Amino acid sequence: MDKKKELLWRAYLVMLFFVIASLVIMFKIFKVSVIEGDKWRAKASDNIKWKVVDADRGSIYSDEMHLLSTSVQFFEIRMDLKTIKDEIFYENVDSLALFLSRFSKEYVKEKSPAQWKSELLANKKKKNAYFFIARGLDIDAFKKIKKAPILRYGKYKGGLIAFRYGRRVKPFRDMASRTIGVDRENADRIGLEGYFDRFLKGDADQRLMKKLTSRDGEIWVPLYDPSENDIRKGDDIVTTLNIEIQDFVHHSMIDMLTKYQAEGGTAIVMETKTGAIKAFTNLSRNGDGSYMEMYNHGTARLSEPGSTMKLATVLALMEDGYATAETKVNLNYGSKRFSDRVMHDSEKHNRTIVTMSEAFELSSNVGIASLANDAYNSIDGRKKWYNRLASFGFTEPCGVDLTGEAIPELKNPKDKNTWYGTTVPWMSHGYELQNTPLQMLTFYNAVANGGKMMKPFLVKEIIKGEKNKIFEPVVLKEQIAKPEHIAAAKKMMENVVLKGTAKSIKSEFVNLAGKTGTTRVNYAKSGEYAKYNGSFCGYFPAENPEYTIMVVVYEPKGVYYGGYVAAPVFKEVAEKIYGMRNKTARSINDTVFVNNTSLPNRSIGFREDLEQIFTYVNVPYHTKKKGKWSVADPSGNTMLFSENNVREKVIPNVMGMGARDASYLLESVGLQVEFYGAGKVLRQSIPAGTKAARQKIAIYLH
Amino acid sequence: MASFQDKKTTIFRLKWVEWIFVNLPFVCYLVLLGVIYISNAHASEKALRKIETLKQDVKDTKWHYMNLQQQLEYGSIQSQIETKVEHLGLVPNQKPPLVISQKEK
Repeated sequence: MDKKKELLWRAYLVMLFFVIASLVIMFKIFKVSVIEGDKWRAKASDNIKWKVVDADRGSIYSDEMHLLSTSVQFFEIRMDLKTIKDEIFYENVDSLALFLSRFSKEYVKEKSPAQWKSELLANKKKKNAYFFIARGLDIDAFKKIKKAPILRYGKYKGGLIAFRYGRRVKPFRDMASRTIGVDRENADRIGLEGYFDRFLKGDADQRLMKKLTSRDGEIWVPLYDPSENDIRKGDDIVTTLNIEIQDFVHHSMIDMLTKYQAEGGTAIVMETKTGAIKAFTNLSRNGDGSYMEMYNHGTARLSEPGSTMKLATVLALMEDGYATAETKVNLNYGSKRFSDRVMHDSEKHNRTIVTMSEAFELSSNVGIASLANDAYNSIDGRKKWYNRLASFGFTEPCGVDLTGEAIPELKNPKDKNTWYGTTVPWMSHGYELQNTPLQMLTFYNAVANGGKMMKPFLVKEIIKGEKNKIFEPVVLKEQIAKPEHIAAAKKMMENVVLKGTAKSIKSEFVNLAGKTGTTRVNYAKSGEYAKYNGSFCGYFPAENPEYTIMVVVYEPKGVYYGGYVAAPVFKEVAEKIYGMRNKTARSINDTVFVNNTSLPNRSIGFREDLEQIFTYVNVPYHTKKKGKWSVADPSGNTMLFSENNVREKVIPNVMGMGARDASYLLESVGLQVEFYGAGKVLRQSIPAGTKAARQKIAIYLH
Repeated sequence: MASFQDKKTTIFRLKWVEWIFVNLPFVCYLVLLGVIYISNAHASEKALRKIETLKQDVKDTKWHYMNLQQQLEYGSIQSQIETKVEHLGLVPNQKPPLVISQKEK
């Protein structure tokens, strides 16, 4: 029995332990879940959270899929000087200071090594855990700075703190940047970024996320279904803008504005048949005299159009049957009284009786105003005048796909307070009414397009995965005037360039047509220095218009006539666009280039290229062996091809090749190429036949 | 010792203890399941971590590409090329290009 008792006693002892242990556990559970419950639950919610997952914003492309705007990641670098171990810090602080002072100034503020060192030391003493190094680093600069002394030890030992942030970037910098627009958090988005924001932004979503720790600190993964990835990325947008044309227009405008120190300017290139905008430049003058895209003059700036309005007047006169191109009008030596005001022509002359067409070519205010005054300055006439201009689109915005288009101002004869005896004659040459350059361009484009008014547009496609949304050109008005009147108006515009106010821009390559405009801006204020806007709106080629262009130069200094400050931009751009495409370039029908030449010298390079060139210029050649790389030697009366042996992992002989072939070939065996000079390779720093092992090779060209 | 095996005098008298012993294989199975479940969770977490870091690598590579792409795009417009070749004495042609073609016979 003794034994049994002892055994039982032991069993109870063990049991007692278990009971105590379970009580302790129970108490702990109670403590954790009830007493400290709130604290732990709060901690847990730090690890699992509803987070907003932003979708990647879509990109904006040009008509040929060049990137106009996209999101790129940037980095801000700070340093935790508190946690870095003293021995690591003090040993390397000199080299870090030197590294930072030598880093590209584009990213890191310029400071001398001594400055950096003293700042680092001072902040180390202060135990600054958030010492600022640099901001705005792109991924490549970030990778470089990660290799800096101290920082290379990483987050915990080296105190490297890196923040990522997204930013919109425009690869073409300032070109068309106001049209492309701005995507910003705290203000209205503007331009295409604003107008198409709902497509570009994609769907942001709330997700229940769990925190995990990893190599780069914490990461968040979706809690329930990690594979789920259906946050819709923003759509990409394809615009009608053409980078080449935009480049011409942008730089041509900057040159012109700089020459005349103008306050600003806008130039718009439109495809005549469709209304697609191929280039859109808006420049404003900076304090230092340089020009930048700061305000969208083209769509948002209302101004009195001036003489470019005369096209609408002559078209209205013809359409309402009051005049033809041959109708005679008295210019009265360039000045005439209407009601209580005297009107002058911009340029002095001593002409009297001319036809309407000639008055238009000379841009005579008096001539056009007299005709309009006789026809429309009556009670009924005013209504007719208003309705006719309304039918040309002068009362409505053109509806371009940009935010902030201004609504044109056209006086309505119903509102008698604003109508004076001078209103019709002054409106007829572009005063007492306002519109934007783009709206005026839309009207001119309709005339160039044979009377069919197209809606200007900038976006031709939205790329949404498989289903793309394509925007077709939209017709605003099928026929704004009878075809014969349109033809007569076009003839007048051709004459403006042939013998009128824009004869200085006559081109020997392409027939241009258009109308100049010179607008006094501050005519209402007397005594002030006169300010003008010079403009030109036209199209080319005159016989079959492909592009319509509007150029406005705001407040140029010195010369201000549209024919001098705006028309040359039109000419330059028109000739460049015209020359850009081979199909419209002139051909010469001589074959001297080909027949009278002897065979070329030894040619080395890519066989197919060489063969193509020889075929193109009619040089006979003969290929013995069809290798990829060849040497062609003149032999008798043909070029004889032999193979240029290129083996793997062996440095090839690139002597005599062009830079492109040579660097391609050398890089393809893994070398890094540096080249000096231009022309053909004269010397290579490592001889052919050496084993390729990722060396650096220099090639000298001449 | 015989009495130790006597169920009436030992801890075996408790019904639930007996039940556990009878179902021991099943209990082991449950424990095994638990272990598999936990290790699986760990493995998936590890995979997730790897996926996230790789995703980041892919993004970084993409941004590197974008950087290069941008520089190339900007560098290849005519006005940039003009400034770059200025020192070679090259200027843009002021006239439209001429197309060389053969005389029609």
